[in-house]
Amino acid sequence: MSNNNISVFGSVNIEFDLDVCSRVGDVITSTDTYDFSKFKYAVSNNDFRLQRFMNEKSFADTKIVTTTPTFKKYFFFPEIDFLPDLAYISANSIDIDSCSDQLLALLLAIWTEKKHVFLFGYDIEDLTEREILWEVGKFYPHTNIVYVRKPNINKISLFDSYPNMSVMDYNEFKVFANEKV
Amino acid sequence: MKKSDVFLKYYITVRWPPVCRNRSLEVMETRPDLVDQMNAFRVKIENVCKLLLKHRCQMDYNHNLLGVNLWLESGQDLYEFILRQPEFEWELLPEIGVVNRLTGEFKKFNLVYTPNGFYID
Repeated sequence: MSNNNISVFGSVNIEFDLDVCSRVGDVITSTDTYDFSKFKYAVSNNDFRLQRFMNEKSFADTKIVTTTPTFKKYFFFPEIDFLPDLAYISANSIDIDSCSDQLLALLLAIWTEKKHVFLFGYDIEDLTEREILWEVGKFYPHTNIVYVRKPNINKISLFDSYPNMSVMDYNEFKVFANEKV
Repeated sequence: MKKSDVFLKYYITVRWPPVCRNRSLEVMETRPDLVDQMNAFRVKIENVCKLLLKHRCQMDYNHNLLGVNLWLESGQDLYEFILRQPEFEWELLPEIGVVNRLTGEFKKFNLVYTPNGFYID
């Protein structure tokens, strides 16, 4: 498995073969809707979702991570760990508990210092999330962030101004994954 | 991490009996009775750990002015340990350490007691 890639699953449910993602690198999820046992990390600051992560068999080998304030509530549960210090959060004095789970998952992926971060089901229809994604791209100029989406003849130019951000579709990603194997 | 690997996640300090607290090594050299009390206290903790705890724990044998340091694997064991302090007539320092599996970072949290129980802050 390559050490240069990591995939992040955001808050939008998609239909995609997750095994393809696990072939190119580690996989992080911010949602509990996928029945997949190879997630490396599951990130959330939502109590309900954390409890689902703890109770679902498919997350038995997954490291469950949450924010430090939430971690205190689950202190006695050894499966749960706290997020490392995330530079973007500290630099912008953001209240970490107000961040979306998908943002936390993305920041954790960037923290792992992999060269390429692939985003699946990342909600960019929410304008706030989209702006934050741009800001994160600018903040981490040495990380390539690739937004992976369903094949669509209509191009999106949301990331054209960002040299380290790009768009790929599922078929292109599968070709990329097959080259890696 | 394989499931069979033991990870000692939690770090607590059980305070010495009052007469043994804050005794430097120099004082202990002249007070063998205190050393005996401390050793007996360690043995007591070890025995209680064997009886009470369901998972692995490890005692730190380096001398500590404040008390006996223990590493625990299980959060449930830690919870029991805190809950049953009055039963064994000892007290914990109100600071609990925890090691992050992702980063190896060691962080301390406060153990806060309330009339209804306790919580971590």
